Amino acid sequence: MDLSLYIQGQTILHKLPAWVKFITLLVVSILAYWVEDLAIFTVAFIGAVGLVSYVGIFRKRNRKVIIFPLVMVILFSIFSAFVVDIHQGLITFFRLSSLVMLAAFVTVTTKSDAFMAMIERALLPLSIFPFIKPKAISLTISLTLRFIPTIFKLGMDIREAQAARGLQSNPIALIVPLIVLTLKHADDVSDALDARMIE
Amino acid sequence: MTTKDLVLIALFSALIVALGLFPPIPVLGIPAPITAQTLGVMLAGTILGAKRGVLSVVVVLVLVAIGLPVLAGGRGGIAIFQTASGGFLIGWIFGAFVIGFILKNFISDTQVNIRAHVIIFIACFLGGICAVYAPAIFWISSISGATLGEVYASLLVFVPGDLVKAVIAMLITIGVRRTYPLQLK
Repeated sequence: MDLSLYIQGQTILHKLPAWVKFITLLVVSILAYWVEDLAIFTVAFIGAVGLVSYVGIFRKRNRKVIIFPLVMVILFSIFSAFVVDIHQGLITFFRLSSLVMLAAFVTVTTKSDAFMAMIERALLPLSIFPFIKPKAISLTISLTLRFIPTIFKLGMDIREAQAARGLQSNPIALIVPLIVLTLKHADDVSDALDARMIE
Repeated sequence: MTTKDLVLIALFSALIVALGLFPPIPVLGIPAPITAQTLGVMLAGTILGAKRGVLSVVVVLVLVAIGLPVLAGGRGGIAIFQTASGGFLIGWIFGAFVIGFILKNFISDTQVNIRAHVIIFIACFLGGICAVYAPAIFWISSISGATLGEVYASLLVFVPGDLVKAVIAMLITIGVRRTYPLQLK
């Protein structure tokens, strides 16, 4: 199972530290709601299109990271144009599509590991509070990633077993055993962690 | 926060993600098949309780933000937060909290009688629908320029589907409580 939206690349934008890209995105997102000028947004839109084409987002393999958000934005702008007016619809379209493309750009040029490292570092100063433990947070996230395929397979097995007995797919009959098995699994995993004195 | 809590949070986040990977499930009487992911959020509240439920939802949102395709249909990346979905994603946090809070305060951890059915359904309605939609309405209104009332009216079409989800979440919770009751936290 391929679990990353990252696109391989050697551009300078790939090499920028994750936090620089993330903070830029944050600042631009906030600024975008202060601007109401269509001309500025058009320029931003063209810039964003240039940026995402440059890293190859529109190629077939990578398209999914941008297609859904863009469709949402278009539907949304139509909604906005209908309930407010055409001008507001255009503003909404240019503002959101630029932001969405910029965000997708940050996503595809930054490895998940780099993001994770950034979050851990950002949390480090907070570890003066007893309830925030950066190590526990990264352990939780790695456990989650490790168990997504396992739990998915567990669910498929339950479904298959029920289908073999001629039962139709029924969300309750599927999810109840799936949750019970997940909770049992959690017992085993936490015992294993405790036995190894991890945490 | 014990190791057990940590593992429960991690595995439940994995469960929420896995539920989004299943093909949408058709439900009798509803034209559109439901995706199980929002169901997962309601269940995080009913089964883990407020604190752990919220944290497991937060883990899923962190995975979305760091660019993993963990939402239903393989969606992910920060761009999702910029669209209308962003409001619902933030709402998930409130939803899991409200559900866990109501269950903790109105029924015991192993109760499965009629009263428990009713309370769990009410919790799923208030948490899984009201608490999730409220931030979404503010969010959508602020990014589209439409008034709160207009956004509210246009979202009403999704409520019947979510009511069905609340009923399903209630039945699943009762089922799990019968076989493997967990202390809410």
